[in-house]
Amino acid sequence: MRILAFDCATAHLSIAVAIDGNVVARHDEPAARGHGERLLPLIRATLDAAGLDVPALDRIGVTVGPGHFTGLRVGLAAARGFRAATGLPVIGVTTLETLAHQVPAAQRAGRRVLACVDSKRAEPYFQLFDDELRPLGSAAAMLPVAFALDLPHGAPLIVAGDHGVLPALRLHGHQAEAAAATHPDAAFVAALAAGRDAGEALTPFYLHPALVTGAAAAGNAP
Amino acid sequence: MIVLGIETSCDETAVAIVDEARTRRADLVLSQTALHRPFGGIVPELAARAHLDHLEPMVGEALQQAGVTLAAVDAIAATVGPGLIGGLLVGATTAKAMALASGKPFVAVNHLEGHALSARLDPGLDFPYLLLLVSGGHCQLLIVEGVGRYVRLGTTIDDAIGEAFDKTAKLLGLPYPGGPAIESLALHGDARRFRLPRPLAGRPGCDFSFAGLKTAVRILVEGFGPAGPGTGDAADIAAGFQAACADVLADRAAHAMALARARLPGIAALVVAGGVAANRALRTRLEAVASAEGFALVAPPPRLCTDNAAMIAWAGLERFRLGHTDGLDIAARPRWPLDPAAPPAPGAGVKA
Repeated sequence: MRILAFDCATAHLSIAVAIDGNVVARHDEPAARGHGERLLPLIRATLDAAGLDVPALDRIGVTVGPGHFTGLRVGLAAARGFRAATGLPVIGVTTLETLAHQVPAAQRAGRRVLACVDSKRAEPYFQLFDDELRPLGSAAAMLPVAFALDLPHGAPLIVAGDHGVLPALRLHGHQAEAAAATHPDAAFVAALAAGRDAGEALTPFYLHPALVTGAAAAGNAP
Repeated sequence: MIVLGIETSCDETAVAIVDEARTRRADLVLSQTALHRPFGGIVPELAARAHLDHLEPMVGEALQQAGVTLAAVDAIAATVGPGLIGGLLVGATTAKAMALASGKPFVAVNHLEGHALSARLDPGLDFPYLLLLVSGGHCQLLIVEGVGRYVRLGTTIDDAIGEAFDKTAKLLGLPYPGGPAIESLALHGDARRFRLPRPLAGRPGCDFSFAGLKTAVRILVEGFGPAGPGTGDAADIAAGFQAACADVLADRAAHAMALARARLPGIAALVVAGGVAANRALRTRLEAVASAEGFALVAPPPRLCTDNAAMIAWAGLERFRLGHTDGLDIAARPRWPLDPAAPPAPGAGVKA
């Protein structure tokens, strides 16, 4: 199975092409902004490196969020554009489950996996998994200190993604350490997408509602 | 030659397919007005979310309606500016991905060029002509000499005319969008009862200003006390406001026609485009002033005046047949003036 996978929902851009489970080409770069200009040329370059074009693929994997609204929309718009042009199946996976899968099994054993993604706001996105990556709750956007306070004490934690929550966890008596993974990795998006049913809807996962603040909320939009 | 166009720069999601014979084979527009109405204006994040939700199925629907497959399309065009960045990114990225996947060229279109060339799609005008672009985001007078060749004669230095309509409507307690609401209320009003200012009218040049007019309306409305003006008073204010706008447009357009004729003696058409061009009272007034200057007033059909993708597909087609295509690395642009030589009007922000 030939899969193109990409993530641009965080301050990072990750693209991978996998054939039968082996990554044959990939590109990763920090990208605080500019996903709209960078994504498609980099996808083309990555496909070129793999010797494939879009119609030669079997499916596409993409992260649906949660993450930065603009970035996750760029990723989804690209995936949907590919689908509109080719009819290829597109499989959406979350940034949080991707990060959890990036923690090696040996490091997960006996621990809970906490995946975190920056939201550009005070409340990052969190989701907790057990050591076999079964979700222990749904994804949530919370202040780190509130999350740490609410979290029941139990197995030690390994934190993948945004590590900003670590001090709050430790302050509240949780045993926690950082995993190597700091951003969603498209190779893991590809692996997750390979095992999923293509029939699922490709829905953006914003988690935060659209902010309607200030002038607009008061009915004074320009 | 067939071009598919995508428009997502503001609060309309639109997909169209046009051909070189000026046939609109598909022309789909999904308005988000109802989504934004509770907020009295467009909420950018809500708009961007709605564009993403609706665009892909509309692409399929447009191809089906046109009876073509993507293989039969020669180029894929999308608005990349000016407009709200979140929406622009959805439309441009979708189009770029379609272009990459199908091996078709991508053409980046300036939304204003879409309006500027829409009169060549319908009724099929030849270059050159004078363009008055009146919308919620712009108010400009430009000489259109050819594809990509624009000379700006004037622009708003503060608010767009459509904004002035929306803000006046809000002051009068009318629903968003304000244009149609003001127009129908003004039908029952006496335009002479309240004398509102005609900003910049009689002054040299072709620039516009609507901020002072809006303030005058606000002061007038506040004069009615906390209860606000009654229905009859509001109708008179709406009529007075609309008459002031008509006078300003007529004055500025007359200057522009004289300037355009001095530059290009053969120029004989004044095209009025943009959502505000749907206003019949303004159009009647512009017809009179154009006729007095020896110009024909040309207005594309109302469907092509408000935001749509047929004009984007058409502008893409006009650019593509001249050999213009764009890379997948082109960035979406909130501000993108048609005439890069024209100085920015600082008070107008991205509008000029």
